[in-house]
Amino acid sequence: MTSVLVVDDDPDVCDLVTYKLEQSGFDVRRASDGDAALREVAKKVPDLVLLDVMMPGVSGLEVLERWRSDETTAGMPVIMLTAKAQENDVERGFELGADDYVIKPFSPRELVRRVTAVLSRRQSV
Amino acid sequence: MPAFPVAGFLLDVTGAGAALAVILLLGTVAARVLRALLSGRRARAEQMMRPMVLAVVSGGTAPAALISARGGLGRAAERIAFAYLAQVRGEAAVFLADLLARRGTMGRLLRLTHSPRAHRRARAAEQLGLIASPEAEHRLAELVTGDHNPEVRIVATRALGKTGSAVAARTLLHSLSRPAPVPEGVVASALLELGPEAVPGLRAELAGGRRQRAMAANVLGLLDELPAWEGLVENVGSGSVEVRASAVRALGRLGLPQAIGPVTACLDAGEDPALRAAAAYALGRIGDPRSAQSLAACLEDPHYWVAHNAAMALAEFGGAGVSALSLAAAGLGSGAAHAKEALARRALARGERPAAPARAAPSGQGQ
Repeated sequence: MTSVLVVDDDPDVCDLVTYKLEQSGFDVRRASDGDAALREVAKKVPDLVLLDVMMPGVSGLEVLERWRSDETTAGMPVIMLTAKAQENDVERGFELGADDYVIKPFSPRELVRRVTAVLSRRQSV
Repeated sequence: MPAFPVAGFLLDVTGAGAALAVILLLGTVAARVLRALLSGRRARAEQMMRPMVLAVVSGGTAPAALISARGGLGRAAERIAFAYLAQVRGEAAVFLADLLARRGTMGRLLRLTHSPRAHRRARAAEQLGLIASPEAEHRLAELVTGDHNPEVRIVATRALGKTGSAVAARTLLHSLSRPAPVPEGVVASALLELGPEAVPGLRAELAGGRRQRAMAANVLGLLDELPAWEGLVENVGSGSVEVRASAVRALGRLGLPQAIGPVTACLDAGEDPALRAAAAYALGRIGDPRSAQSLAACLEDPHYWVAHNAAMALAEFGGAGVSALSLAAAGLGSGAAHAKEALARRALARGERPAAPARAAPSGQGQ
């Protein structure tokens, strides 16, 4: 089963994303901040990460930078979750190697489509 | 024997203090226990309702237990539905709004917008903005223009921005002409929140009243609405400085070379300094070296922002702009300081070391 790590400090967003992904057949793990995300990935590298940009403590961009500089996680697909007001972060996210981004508020159906698209793109490379 | 009554008094005071401390302690413990019980009950209610609401988000049929839930369970269902509604868009938002309508929540909120208490009206307005049904939108429009409390009007304006409705744009723009309107920044934020949905209304209002035209021009520029450029150019030639400056700034943000002619014309010395400063800024954003000569002529302008914006704009042009700035920087006129600042900023932005300022001549020399 394809595993996805959802990283967001907002439990409502985590609930929505987890439910929709599980319904679509993914195995979902959750982390509520950057440190927890780093720990989760160190335990087991997921097939894809949905990563919120704005989080308390270590930000999503910082987490992404650390993953990209680590050989074991450099190629791990990451989709950034960002609020409408933080669209500037999207550019920075792409510079750091994000594979795609989703702006909140989001369409759950579109989110699943993006996850599937990024995974199939990675598999075909 | 004066010591004995004093000791008795002290004993009485100590006893009363101890009793008071015990009462306070018991009160605190009771309050904490009560809070924990309520919080536990609330968590259990949310745990029970959450899967049902999540199923609705995914397009599942709302079970009767969710539609008819009242009391603590009903409140939990609504808390969850509104929390999710703030995070989703598209069909998921429609499913949640439908759930709230079937539960009678929307009717209750519409009634609450008539409450004599301002905080209740504001809260209801905020939630109606998330539901974003036509009825909700209609009532929000009434609150934006008609509520006697300015804070409720502000909340209703923000809520209207969240509805994503094309009609809301014109309502928001027209609210600017009402007595004691909502602050322009709040209206602008709400229009930006509407995003592309606001564009038809904004473009139509480029031919509206003065305040509507100025706001529409500003927001169209912020939304990067390129097809609006001709309407903006028409407003550059209008009678109001506020409207003209807004249109000029918007054209600058769009960055279209087609706007160079009308914008450069606004640099004319006979124009209002605010408009000329806006034109200099806009020409820098457009970044076409053909306007370098007109901007260089503004470097010695007595109005600070005209000269400053002209220098910053020239720094964007590369060769032609830098030559004009270097020439001005070597001179003794008032434009030298603006030119030096612009050149230094340009060097820093390119990761270069700015040129050192010329040393003052030792006393006795150069006189």
